[in-house]
Amino acid sequence: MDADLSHWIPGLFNYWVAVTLFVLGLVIVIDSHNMIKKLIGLNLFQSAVFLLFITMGKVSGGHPPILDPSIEIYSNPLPHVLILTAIVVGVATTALGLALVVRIRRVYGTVDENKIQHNPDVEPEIIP
Amino acid sequence: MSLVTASHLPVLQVIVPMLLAPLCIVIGNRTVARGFMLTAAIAMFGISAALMAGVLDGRIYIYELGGWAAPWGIEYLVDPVTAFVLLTINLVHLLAAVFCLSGNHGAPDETARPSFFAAWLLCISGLNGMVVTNDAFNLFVFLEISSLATYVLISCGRDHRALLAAYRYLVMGAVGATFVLLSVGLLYMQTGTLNISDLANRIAEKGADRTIIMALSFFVIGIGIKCALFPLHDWLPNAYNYAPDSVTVLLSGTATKVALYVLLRFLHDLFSADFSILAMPLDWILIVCGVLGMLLAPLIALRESSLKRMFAWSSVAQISYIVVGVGLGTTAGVAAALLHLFNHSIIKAMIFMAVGILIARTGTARIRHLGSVAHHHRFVCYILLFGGLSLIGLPGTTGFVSKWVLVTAVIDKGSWWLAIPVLAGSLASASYIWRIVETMWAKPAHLELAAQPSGVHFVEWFPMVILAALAVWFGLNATWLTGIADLAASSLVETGIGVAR
Amino acid sequence: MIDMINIGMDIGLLGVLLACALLILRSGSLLAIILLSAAYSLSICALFVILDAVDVAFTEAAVGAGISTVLMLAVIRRQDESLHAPRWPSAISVVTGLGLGLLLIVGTLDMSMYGNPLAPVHLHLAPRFIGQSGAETGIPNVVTSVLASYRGYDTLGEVVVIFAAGLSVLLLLPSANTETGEEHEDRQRRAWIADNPILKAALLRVIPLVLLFALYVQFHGDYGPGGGFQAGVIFGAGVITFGLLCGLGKLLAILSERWVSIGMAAGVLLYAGTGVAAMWRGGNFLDYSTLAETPTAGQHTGILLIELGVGITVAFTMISLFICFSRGRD
Repeated sequence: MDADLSHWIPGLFNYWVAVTLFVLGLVIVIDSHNMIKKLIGLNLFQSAVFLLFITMGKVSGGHPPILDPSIEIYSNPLPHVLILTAIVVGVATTALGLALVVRIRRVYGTVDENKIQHNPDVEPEIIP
Repeated sequence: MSLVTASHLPVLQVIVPMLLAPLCIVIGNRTVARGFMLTAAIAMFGISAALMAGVLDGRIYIYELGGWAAPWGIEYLVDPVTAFVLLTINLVHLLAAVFCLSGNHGAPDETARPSFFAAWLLCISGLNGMVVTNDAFNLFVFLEISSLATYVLISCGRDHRALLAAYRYLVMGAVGATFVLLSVGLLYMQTGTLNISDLANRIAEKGADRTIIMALSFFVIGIGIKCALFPLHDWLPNAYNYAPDSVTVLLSGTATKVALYVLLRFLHDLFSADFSILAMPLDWILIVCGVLGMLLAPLIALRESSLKRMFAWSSVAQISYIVVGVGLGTTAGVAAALLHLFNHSIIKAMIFMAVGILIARTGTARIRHLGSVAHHHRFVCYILLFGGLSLIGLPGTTGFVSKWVLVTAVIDKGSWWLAIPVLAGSLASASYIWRIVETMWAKPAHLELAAQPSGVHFVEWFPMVILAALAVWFGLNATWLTGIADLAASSLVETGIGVAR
Repeated sequence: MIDMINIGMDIGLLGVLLACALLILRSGSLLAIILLSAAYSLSICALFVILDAVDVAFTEAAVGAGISTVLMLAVIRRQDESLHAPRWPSAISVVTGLGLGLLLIVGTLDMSMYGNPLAPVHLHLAPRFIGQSGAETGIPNVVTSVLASYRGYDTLGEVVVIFAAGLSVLLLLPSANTETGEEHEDRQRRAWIADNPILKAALLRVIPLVLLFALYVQFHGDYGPGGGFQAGVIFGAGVITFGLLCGLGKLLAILSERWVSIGMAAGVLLYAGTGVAAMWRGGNFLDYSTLAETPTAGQHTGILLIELGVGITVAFTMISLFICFSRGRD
């Protein structure tokens, strides 16, 4: 690989945006006190990785990988398969996280992590 | 070594619990679900024992899922290291399942039971899948199966704070899993393959470029979260503390151990532990994390007010010993890591069973409420004492064996000074063990604590006693176990999976 | 020329994604954040189409923009909790984020350029999938054949993950025996849809079409984008619409919770059962070639069965999620 910046910029642009989204998602996950916003940050964070996978599967001039005698160049199907699975896994995690959030709100009356930690009134009792 | 491809054992190890979990839901009966859990546990232990026997006969099992040859399809691979870890986790799982059946330590809600057992089965299925798979993406999928099941099992704890613990673990765990996914993506991008043996060969041909190094870094962080590698251990104390007792036993005995195995496997398979080809001192990063963990975690444990959380911190410390063994990268280091992995699995499972019984009998987990408790619940307290001594690594216990091997490995590698933190860590463990011994035997009894009969159900003490017996046995006759660990370690370090094919 | 347009759209959509992410970071209203994340999902969907990943785009549309948004809205429906005034990111997140981001940027420098057909990723496994999957499985959609056959075991894992999520939500949000005041209030609040006769009649007539479309997506997945997962989500959405229009009570009267959970399990059992059947007939787990006289016919049968399993589990899980999240007691 030649270390020429002008060569890198168009060629790696997608990856760099994916990295930026990755960082933004991580910042949202770390900084949000609201548990729902945190889960949305997590989605954002995961989708950045999805973007990276799908970008690597693209072939210039390629077509979607559905076989057709009139087409010669196809994009790589394997990243699509992997990301299909990963998206499903992601939504499963989100659903479980939201169910936890609903339960937490029932018990503590809030979904704000800071309020739960700092307000002694919402400290629950041990259920025997 | 002969390759065996015709045996269905590797896949049965994973799909038996995976099939029984939905059946639990379809039948929807608690007793049947319990029966399924026990059946699965016995079957899985049997399968892992059979695999171990085969491996000791010099066989290596390869299983092509869907009949597609790797690297196009997904393949399962069982070699000595895999068999060792499979046997460990399925042994502990069998005993944890029996312990769970006692009813005092399982799901809190009567109606929720079949789904609780289904989640349990999925968890152990996912963990087994992570161990046997030889495919990087498949690893991610099974990591997620076990993780999702783990989150919900933790949230079943009696205390409402279990929900918070589960949520925090979910967020951290999902970040970790995404790191693993990213790392698999980067590796795939540079090599075009997902099969771990194939990856190893291609990286060996091409050398590691910057993308591969970054992939490795993200993998270590991601799996580091799952195995509670020292600065990434944040989720563990609360998760262990608030989870139902049987789940704590399961997690401490299997989940973190599987993550450690994956870390070990990946580093050695992909890079033959030749960290020098990397542009970063990964071995030293691991060793420093391990040393910090083994020194700091016991100090935090010393200040904990809850018995269960104190032992959770002790888990962080003990995991650090294994990480140091992995970081050494030598055959002796890996053997020490594997030995300690086994020992800590059985010891910590035993301790958490004892803690669970003690909490169920006394109704408290606060250490300061446990004064003189040993006079009412003598049996359980002696088990705890024995476990504690083993954590310290007193001669005659299993803990001594693995720490001895670790110290030898450290000195062999020429880093004799590393033995100092290992020994200091043991002393630090002694301090918190002494604290509970002093409380339970010498401190005055807590007033609110009613003296209850110390009867313990058969299903509660039976698995605990088996674990204790194993710990005693392997403490006194370590040759057999160290022999297997050495065999496994040398097969991993010296031959490597790429060469074995 | 087409490539230039594609690259232009690619850059534009990436810009939209970045803008959405920044707005989510700074926004103080949960409702706004959820809608922004739906917009983000739709944009990334369009981007996936440009990058030739039509199946992925379909899934992302159904899941990211669809199900995730609905679930989030269901959770916040009673209170749009406004968050604290947006601040600057904390030091720890900046250090972690920038550190990992820089590591990744360094990692990208050895990567192959966008669209390079000679990148290692296209040279090893992909040629066989593209060149021979048609003959080996008899299915033109390569994504479907890789997903269902070559890597069918991953897909089984994916179905198990969905099942685990459905199971977990059932375990966390078990049924309440009595209707609480808030459930009543909820019904009242929803009444504007149910009581608007035109809207209700129109939507009720759309439901059969939605279900029909789901079946089309299910069985056409071999030839075009689609398959069990997308079909399951669409089918689930049809049933959910019915639940929204006629109330949870009516939905549960037709489809009791017990049957929904059996449905979730049945799909997994069908999938894994197909794999076991292959073992029974002398092949490896999930080796569909043994299921019929010729390997190709066997592959076809196997893929049909397991896609059906995926569809069933996903549809029932979606319905179960809807039921659990909408019978709130909070």
